[in-house]
Amino acid sequence: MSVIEGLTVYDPKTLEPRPGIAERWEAVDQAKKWIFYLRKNAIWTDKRPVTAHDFIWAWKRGIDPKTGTPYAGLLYFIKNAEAISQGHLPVSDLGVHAIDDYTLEVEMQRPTAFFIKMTPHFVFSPLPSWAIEKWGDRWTTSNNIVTNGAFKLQEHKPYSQVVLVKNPDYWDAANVKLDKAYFYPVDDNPTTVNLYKSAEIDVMQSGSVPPAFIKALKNKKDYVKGTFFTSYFFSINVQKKPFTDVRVRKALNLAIDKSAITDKLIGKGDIPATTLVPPGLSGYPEIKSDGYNPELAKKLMAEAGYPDGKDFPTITIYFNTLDTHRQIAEAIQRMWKESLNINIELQNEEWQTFTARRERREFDIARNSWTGDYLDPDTFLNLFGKDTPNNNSGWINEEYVKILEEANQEPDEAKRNEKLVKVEEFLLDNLPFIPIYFTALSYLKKPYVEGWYPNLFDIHPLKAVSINTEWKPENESVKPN
Amino acid sequence: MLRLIIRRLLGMIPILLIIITITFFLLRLAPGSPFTAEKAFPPEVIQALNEQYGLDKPLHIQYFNYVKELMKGNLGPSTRYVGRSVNELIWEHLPTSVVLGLLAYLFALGFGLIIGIISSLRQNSLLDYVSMAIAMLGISLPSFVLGPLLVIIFSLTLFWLPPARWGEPKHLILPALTLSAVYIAYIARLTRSGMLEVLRADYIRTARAKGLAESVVVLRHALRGGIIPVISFTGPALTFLLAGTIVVEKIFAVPGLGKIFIEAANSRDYSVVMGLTLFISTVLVAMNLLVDITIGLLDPRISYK
Repeated sequence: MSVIEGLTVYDPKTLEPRPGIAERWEAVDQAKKWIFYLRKNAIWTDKRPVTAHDFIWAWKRGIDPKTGTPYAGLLYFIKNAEAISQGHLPVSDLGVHAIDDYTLEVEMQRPTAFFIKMTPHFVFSPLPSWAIEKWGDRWTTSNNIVTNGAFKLQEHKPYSQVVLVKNPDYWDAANVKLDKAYFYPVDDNPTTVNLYKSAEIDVMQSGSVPPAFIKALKNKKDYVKGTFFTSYFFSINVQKKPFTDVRVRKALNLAIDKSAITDKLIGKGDIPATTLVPPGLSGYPEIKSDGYNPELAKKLMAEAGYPDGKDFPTITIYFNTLDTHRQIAEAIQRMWKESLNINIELQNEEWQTFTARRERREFDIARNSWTGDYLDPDTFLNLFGKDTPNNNSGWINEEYVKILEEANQEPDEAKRNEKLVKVEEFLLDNLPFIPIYFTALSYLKKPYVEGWYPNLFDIHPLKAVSINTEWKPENESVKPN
Repeated sequence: MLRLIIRRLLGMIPILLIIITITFFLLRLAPGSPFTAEKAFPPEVIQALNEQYGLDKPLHIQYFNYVKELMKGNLGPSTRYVGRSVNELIWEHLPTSVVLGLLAYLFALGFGLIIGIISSLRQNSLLDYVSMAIAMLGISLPSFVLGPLLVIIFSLTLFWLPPARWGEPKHLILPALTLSAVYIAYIARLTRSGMLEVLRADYIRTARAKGLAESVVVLRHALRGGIIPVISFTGPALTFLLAGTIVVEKIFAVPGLGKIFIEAANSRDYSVVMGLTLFISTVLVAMNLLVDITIGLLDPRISYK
């Protein structure tokens, strides 16, 4: 993202869209159309200017079914995009046009006031068509790549390292402070912490601190915590008995003491959840929903025809093999046995096997989690808006689809948020899932790294980052053990 | 001898073909696909990707296509690293595994032989007991315990060596030591028992009777016979040191073949798993052949006619 700059860039603290290649923008016709005015001083590393055509070419390539873009779903907000992706319309019908070289017009499928929040996402990046046409899928090697961002790719060794250097031709190069940045792909979390302790790295991705280390580290100055834009929940297969009965789903939810899971069991600062959308979105209020209430849970189960768990079938919780998932499933197994007197089996599976099962809806209850793609409740709420492979619960409700679409088309932000609250309340009233917790952001950062803030996406535009060379160690660095 | 080598080389072909076939179908029997992700791709995107990689064709056609490409030396494209071929991935990461494996091999042979010889010459002394106890520890301590232990001592307490990563000589030492520990121990024990047996043999008594210096007796006469069990162990050992470094590569973030193998298996990068399985099997089979030849040259009792 620091290598190729899009229309907008994330604010390092709030993640709000800030001017990138686009200097300014406006929504026209109730946000049915967006117009972006591009800066004229942005150039690619081969000195060509960055123009509106580079965006159009990139987005058309992204939506072309032949390309097979994993994130194509985000482009579906643009006019005709979904039909093109499914092969019903030619790529040329995509609703993007260049009014001139530096003015980009985007037509939306429906009024989409929140489109601007998506524009920093990499799927909306411009691309150098000439380089890709010349090199094909080898255009991303460090010799061939052409970029336009604050940093250039110097080296990319798969599984080993990525090296970025400052791009002197970047339009805002005067404000870029780092000269070089190294990225090491390390998949073993204790190893990551070891590298940090021996000062081989300055900062790490969130989630790299093993849960067992957190107790020892959480009072250190280097330890950073915050909220991440991830919701951890259980999908309930609502197409299967006894989960077709909403009272059963609600009873299962009410019988889980979530703060016991986050505080006593995991203890890394996750927030117990009663809703789907994580907290931290500006303008979107916290929704009150059912908390821990085993008495009410018992009552609902009795009403559903299972007094004290009588005649309730043995059900299975599926999860992918990981210690944390097992611990959570075991805790819930015990809580359900104690409060509802029902029998639960646990089944862990290798990641691919598990995911395939979940997509085929061959489960009673399956572990799930979802991370938002843009700073808006819709990125969570639309999980249940369609019968897609991501709607694992199989809950498809026409009323829900209707009110969600209505809310999304509302141009006024405050009114839209009010409507979205209603949408989420409707969802919680039907409860096709069991909210468990919102994942905490958790990582280690050296105190001399500045401009790297905890935020919902754990995305850190390098443009804002600097190293304070004046910093002197006192008694605050993390010591071994 | 030449005939033997040719015969054995030809014999490799059906073995490898069987391995390819079994791996190919086993891999496809496993649930999931290269395009399964936490966030499911839209179905039309998955279809497009399957077409791109020829995964939409019937399985037996895919198999024949694979074997056909293989005959041309083409191991196929990686689905995870778009634009990279399996051949490239193997060639890029092979040097890492070879350097690490060979260094561990040298550690194993060097330390193993020295410890083994000394123990056998001072049988039942304190030195013998201590070295064999350490060897026993080396065999029983798994690398995921030994590795972090070495890191705690040398990286986080003494700050002598980096705890992980790759690229400079200093990165090599801890992973090579962790990797070789088991083999040092095995080789030390094998050398000791091999040497003890040989040292009691008649021809050693003859050599001593001739008045040869003890060092000549040990190093030229006894060692040659004493290390035969070691040699037959070092072939497979070298293969495992080259290919079986998965745990060590993970602990020390070493970008070797083992790491690719495991990630490819997890992400169902079919052609990468196939390519690596084939590559490792070839090395294993070739290594065994090499061992047989070496033993034939060293041991006058064995002859291939």
